[in-house]
Amino acid sequence: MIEAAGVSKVFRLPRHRRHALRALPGGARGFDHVAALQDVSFHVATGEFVGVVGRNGSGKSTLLRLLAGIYPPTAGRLVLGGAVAPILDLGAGFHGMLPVADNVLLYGVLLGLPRAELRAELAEILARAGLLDYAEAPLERVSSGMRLRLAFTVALRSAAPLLLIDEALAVGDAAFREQCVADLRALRARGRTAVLVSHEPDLLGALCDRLLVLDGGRLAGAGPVPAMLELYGALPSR
Amino acid sequence: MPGSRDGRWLELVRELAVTDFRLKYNDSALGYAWSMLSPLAMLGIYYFVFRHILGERSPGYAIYLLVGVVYWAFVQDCTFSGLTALMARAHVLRAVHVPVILVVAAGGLSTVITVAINSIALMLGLLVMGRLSPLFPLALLPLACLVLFALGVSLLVALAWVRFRDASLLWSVALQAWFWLTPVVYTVRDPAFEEILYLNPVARCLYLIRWFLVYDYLPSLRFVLITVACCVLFFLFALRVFRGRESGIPEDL
Repeated sequence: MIEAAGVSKVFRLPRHRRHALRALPGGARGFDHVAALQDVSFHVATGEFVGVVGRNGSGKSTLLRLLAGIYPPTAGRLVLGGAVAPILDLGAGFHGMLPVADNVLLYGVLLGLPRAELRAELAEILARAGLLDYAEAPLERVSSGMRLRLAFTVALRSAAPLLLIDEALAVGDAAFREQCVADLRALRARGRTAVLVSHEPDLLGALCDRLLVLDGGRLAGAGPVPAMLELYGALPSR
Repeated sequence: MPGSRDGRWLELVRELAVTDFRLKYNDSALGYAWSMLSPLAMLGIYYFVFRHILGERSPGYAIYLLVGVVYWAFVQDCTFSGLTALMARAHVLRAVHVPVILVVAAGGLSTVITVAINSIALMLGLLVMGRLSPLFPLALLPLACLVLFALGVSLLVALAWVRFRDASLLWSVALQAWFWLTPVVYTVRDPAFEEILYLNPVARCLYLIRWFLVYDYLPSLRFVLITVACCVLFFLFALRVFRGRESGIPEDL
């Protein structure tokens, strides 16, 4: 369950990158304020899969980061019904020099998975990611597509009731994508909740119960997938 | 589930610290030996300069210098570790919700692992040379104080760096000044100057470590207590300041 009421996020961006000393505490004129989200309110019921669409810079990723607790909201109230599995920047924390197996443990622990459990299921995780023979190879020897695939496989092991997915499915080949969609549908059938950002109408149609449309940091609409895709297509270009 | 949550954080700090430690020595041929070799190389340089150019004639100067250099290397690494950890894990902090303090703590912890190993090597060396004082177990106290103080500084330096990036450059200059305000490479004979040095918690810790490890000297309880109080209070102050500003850090990275 997610309840967002009047949520806003304003970023302070340093104005003079080249004169970083002006950003010293007290140097008041050193910042620009950018409103990434303004007065956004919505509700996601438990067991619902909700997609978020919007142009680049419309606040989709900021919204997911607020939901994940990475950024605090500037204003408004955000209530989450449980722990969160953030699948935002796949493979953040991977180290190319370390073996594949160690990266699974490190990434899993970063995502909040118990280490003992990861160790026990290591072979299964590697097999699903198609990397069973590479457990001891340095991760940098593995192709970037395979790396993202590995990250996604690890992330999906999380038991958190709420999944946050930021364009993660844009990676991998057709077969892996199909597997991901099947996995996510299975999670939905088991009553998990998800908010997912995507630019792909087919995927949104296949996975989501509803869509939220963001436009310039404001919520332009919320409702059934076809109607919202239509609205998104009809938004005035800026 | 507060219990399992704390367990998770502990697991995370451990995993990050071990990873840092492994990455640091992974690709170098001499591996961990570097963390000992670099203080030893500095020792050689300072010894040459002070003994043969500046005419330092104190008896046992090499051992005095050895202890100083090992612990100064820690102060240097540890106070930079928070900043380095934030820099290296900025993308992680923007992708996953983890208390920022844990990432900084893990960076500090990997330098603490190094100083712990180097301390054991140092004590073994002193033992072999017949210079290990029977008071050596007491050195754990000033060592713990030094660790707390350096971690406190690491938190504040990391926070400053988040606010303005020049902090990393400023800190390397400040560290140089601090080095010369700490009796690492020189001995002090002027009591008035010694009083001034006592205002520096790192100098106090270093005095205590040397007295307990090598010189078999028990200082006044007052001196010990003031040192402990300074370090603990400074650490708590730094922790408080950091925690108060922690939630805003990921968006400023």
